[in-house]
Amino acid sequence: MTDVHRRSETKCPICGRASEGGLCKFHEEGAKRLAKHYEVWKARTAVSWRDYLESVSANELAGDWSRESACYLLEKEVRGQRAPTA
Amino acid sequence: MPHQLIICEKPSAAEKIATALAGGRARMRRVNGVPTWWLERGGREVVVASAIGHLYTVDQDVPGRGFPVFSVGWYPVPEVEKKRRRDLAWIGAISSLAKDADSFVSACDYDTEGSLIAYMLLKHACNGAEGRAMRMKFSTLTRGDLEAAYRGMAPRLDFEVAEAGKTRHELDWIFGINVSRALTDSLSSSGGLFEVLSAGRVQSPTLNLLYRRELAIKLHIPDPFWAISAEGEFRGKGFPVYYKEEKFEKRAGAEAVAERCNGTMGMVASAQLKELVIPPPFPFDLGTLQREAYRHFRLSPSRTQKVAESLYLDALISYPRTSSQKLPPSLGLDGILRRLGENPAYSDAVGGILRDGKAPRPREGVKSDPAPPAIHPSGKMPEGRQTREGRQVYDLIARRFLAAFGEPATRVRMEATIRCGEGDDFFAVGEVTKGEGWMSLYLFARMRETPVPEIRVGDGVLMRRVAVEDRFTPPPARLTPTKLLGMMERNNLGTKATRADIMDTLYRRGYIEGGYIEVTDLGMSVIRVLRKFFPELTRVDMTRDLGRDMELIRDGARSGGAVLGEAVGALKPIFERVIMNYDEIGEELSEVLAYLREKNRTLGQCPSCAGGSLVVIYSRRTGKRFVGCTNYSSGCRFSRPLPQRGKIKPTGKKCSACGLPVVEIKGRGRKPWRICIDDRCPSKK
Repeated sequence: MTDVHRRSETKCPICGRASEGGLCKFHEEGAKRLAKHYEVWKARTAVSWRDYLESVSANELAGDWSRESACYLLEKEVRGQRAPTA
Repeated sequence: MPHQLIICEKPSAAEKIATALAGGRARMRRVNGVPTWWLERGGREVVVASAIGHLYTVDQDVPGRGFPVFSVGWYPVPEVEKKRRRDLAWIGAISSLAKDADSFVSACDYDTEGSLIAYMLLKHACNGAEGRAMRMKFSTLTRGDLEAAYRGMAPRLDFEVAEAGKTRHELDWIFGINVSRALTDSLSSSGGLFEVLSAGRVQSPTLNLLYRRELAIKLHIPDPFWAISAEGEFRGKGFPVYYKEEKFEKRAGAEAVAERCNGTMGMVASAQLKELVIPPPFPFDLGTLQREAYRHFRLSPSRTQKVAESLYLDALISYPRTSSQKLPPSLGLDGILRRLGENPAYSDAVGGILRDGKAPRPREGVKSDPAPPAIHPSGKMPEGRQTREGRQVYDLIARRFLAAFGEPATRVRMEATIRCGEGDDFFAVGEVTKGEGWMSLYLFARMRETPVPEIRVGDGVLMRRVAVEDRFTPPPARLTPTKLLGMMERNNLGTKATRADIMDTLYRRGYIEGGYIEVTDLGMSVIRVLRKFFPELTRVDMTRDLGRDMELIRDGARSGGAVLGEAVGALKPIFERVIMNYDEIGEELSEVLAYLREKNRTLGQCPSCAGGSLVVIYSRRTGKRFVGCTNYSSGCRFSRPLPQRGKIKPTGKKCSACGLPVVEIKGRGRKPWRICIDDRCPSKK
């Protein structure tokens, strides 16, 4: 097999798809929606960002990409990095 | 002596037609090695010959693999598809018979495909006989229908219907070949791995609709809300009740209601009994038959279509490829019912319908088709052994037909409001069947019986349970194949004859999978490229407008040439744009396919070393495949043998016995099976 020329050299840390630095388009969208929906959760349940990520990552109704993004952001939280904003 | 040549679509139909017209005495003779049937009728010789589906097909007019290509012609199938060389015999037989024919008749199925098959054979194989051919029209293959169709045949072919079919085939070819070449060639020219990718005219917007749904599902984030779950009790009988507000955005609001109402006595503030009249169902069009067959027997739409076509060829039902929900009186419905009544399975039902041998008018739907009526039994008794699927589909059709003549069913609906305290209203709703009517004929109709106690205004109802439920907003539901059929129909994508095949093609190409349809990574990638570089081709409106144009051609209001010209005019700038973006398309596809290839061969984490992944490796030395670690060059020697046959797919799951990855293996024509990659796994002992 020959090597395939890649437009970008970085890969999404969640799924390995090509990305332009950071997450791929799908997981980046997942992370954005997580930030947006956190406002709804906060208004309804006063939940912390970390507890919210834990809830979404364990919720079977959440889409695969949303859950994967939630797990990834949770790991970053645990490692003490800043949460993204909407 | 010159003979009359009758052309049919399939050999089994040809035999039926010949037997019917000969009064049972047709002789089979092989011409060019293929069966033909000979008979005498009214003092002249009649020969019934057959095609095997389409014997002519679209191909480009100019040689080479140029792109884009818009100039097309019609050619014998064996010249275009080498695998179908043997079909030349059928064309040869018809050509040979045409030389001594002085009269030509099309007896193909009365729809666009059948009309086109006959038109092409008469034009090309019968040396331009299409202008003087006549047309038999029949909806079942029973002797009576065929006799009537022969006696009353139309003096000319249905040119408009054939032209609609011809234009559709040409458009599908132009679209499909150009998009496929754009995708495949751009991928090759980018230095990427070779892969044949394709997308059809109707497939692309269908895949796009599925893709948008898939995005919504995969990116869904459930939001929390709360609801009241409640049960009332009246004279010792419990029944569900529903709070006036369906959802609460704060738990405290729901809790307050539960606290106020749980265990209290409510009072019936209003109670209404309504009688609902449920009219009989319409007789089947193909789409509704496919939905019902899936609902009751889990038969896929394409399987239902094949079974129904087989029943038609056995003269048990009418032509199934119809969108009509109408049963015109000219079908001789009384006679069909009488014959159906001779079958013990339906004799009671028919006895209840006929009055002095006459049936009332059946209920009909609004949908009509210029040719075949709604799907109905012919009245002929099934003979010999039928397959289970054949029995199921036949019974479904027969009972639906009977139900269309039935009396309306009646249901009683009770709606009550139960008030607790000042303003907490609960609703009770129940429905039960009062008179079965047509439901006793169509046993597949299932309506839920939800009885509610007969409560009256002023009665007290104990709210025996009022509790708070935690809920989350659900994602959009995945579509089943029949729900997808319905969506295609609503968006005017494809025709009654093609929708099931289009769905099958999406499955076969690996763009979708599962009984609850999921768009695969490959499907997502192809549609993303199409959306980015050919967005017009993924939208419903272009295909829908072309579908409407087909109907106008069929009605004689537009010419195929004009419609084709307009479509090519719209497609040219799109494909010219593709040429300018060849490199970008190729790079994007390369990236995606490389990712998919890697994903499909990666089985999981290596248990031996940190950071390595287990992948499927093909040994150049032995030609065999096995599992190895990506850290081999750093010293990890983990490996396991793999079965050498069948396609291997990672499942993402681990073996419960040893924790190593589980893979799925699919052999040709076999059901897939799952195994742990460890040949020494305790689960294999």
